[in-house]
Amino acid sequence: MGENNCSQHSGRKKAGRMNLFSKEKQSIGEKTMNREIIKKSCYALVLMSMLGLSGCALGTAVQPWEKETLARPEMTFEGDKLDNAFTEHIYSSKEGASGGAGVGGGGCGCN
Amino acid sequence: MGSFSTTTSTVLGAAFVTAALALPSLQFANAEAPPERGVVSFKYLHYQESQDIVSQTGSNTNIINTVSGASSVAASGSSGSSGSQDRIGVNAYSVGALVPVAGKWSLGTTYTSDSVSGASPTYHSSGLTSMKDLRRAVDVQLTRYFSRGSVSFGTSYSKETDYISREFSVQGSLSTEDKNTTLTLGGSFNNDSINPINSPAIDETKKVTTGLIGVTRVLTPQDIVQLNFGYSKGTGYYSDPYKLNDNRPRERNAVTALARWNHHFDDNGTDGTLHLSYRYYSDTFGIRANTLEAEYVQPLYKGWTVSPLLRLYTQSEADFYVSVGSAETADPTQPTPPPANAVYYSEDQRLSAYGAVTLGLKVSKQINKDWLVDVKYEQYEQRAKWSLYGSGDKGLTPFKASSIQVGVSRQF
Repeated sequence: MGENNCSQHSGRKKAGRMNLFSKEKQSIGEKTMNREIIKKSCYALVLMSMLGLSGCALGTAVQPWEKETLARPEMTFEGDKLDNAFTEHIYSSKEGASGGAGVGGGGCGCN
Repeated sequence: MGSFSTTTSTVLGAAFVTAALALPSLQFANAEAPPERGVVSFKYLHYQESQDIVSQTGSNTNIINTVSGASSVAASGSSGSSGSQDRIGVNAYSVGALVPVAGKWSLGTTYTSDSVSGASPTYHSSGLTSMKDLRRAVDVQLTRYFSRGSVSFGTSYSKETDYISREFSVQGSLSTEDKNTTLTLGGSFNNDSINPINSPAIDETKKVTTGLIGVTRVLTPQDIVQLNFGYSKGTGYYSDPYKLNDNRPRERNAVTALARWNHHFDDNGTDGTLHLSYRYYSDTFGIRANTLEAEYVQPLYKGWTVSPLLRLYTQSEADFYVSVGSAETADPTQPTPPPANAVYYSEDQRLSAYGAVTLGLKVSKQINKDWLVDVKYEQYEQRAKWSLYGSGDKGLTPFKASSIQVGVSRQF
């Protein structure tokens, strides 16, 4: 990973000097992880494109006059925007994982 | 690094090629319609967290340093060697508005004020430091509706004493002619500035780029499913300047896969709706996480609705997480030093392996066609031993939080 890992922070500089092998090990570990992520990304992409391409074949086509229930607010994925914003903000500041539902919303210094 | 970037762009390129290939096979029409009415909403949040105190004789885990934090205040907290202690408390409110414009546009905006105060651990769950800060955030989203889809442009700005976040996002969606399949593509760019008040020399930035591709599909008149795949690439300052022994990699890339399913119970007469979702998360810190969420929305008489929810979460620890050491176990006021050869290290319990459970209940009342009020209560608990990834850090005590939201919205 980047050579600048050891810049900016004196603690980091010191640690970097202490054992170069450890840094090497970390770097290899991260590369393996990156490969794993890319592999999973590819699987997900294949799945997504299959879903997209076979969209019309998935289930029987629902007709417009059958969509009264689907139009109800509780059947949408958006939900209560202010509620979602508060809830996601709390989880992203208390847990390691975050995101997934959409883009936008902004960051904060809480995590 | 170079090869990774190349591979990443290949993957992202493949995503767009896949999307582009998918497009001609689908006939798009009326993906979304602009809102018919405007809405103004207000929501208040009170959040309070606490953590069990490690039972020790001859030591006091309640030592509070008023050294760092956005501004030091005298922290309160019960002293003693058992029970639990309050940590961070939040009082926040949010005002949102969504206005239809000229039949083909909508403009949405949200303002949030977030007042945070309490005690934050300097290492693991000890070395409490009092802090107080006010966060103000605003976001604006402009959406254009077309006969064959919609495009949204968004921006947001968030400011704390020591942290400024700016974001720009674009999202587009396209539906098939029968409106049963919708493809969504989105991207955002975050540019954050970090200036910790305890270390003025740290003048840092963090930049995060996120891409998202999703498919939403109507399966039956009572079932709709969605699959989203996200990738984010971040570089910059990820360490926590207010913690001891905290030095994290300057790069964090993450993938998310989210599957959601909404089902409406028409036939058995309950008229309820079940929301199920599962998210997989994986990042280059080494954190893997699984989130399962279920919510059931039950309409009752005269506009009342109750919605119980259950959320289960588990994560693995980051590669560089440092567990509570034996000296710290014996005396929680003694920080655990990072391993002698470690380049990256952190004692932030949010990077440890744990499981978490949330139980919640939301009650809402549609007063008339214009007014809606709601109240939501949630109880949250994290425990190391609930982790599905190993046994977790046995030195950490359970962490709990509760929150209540009160909201009102008015349509125009």
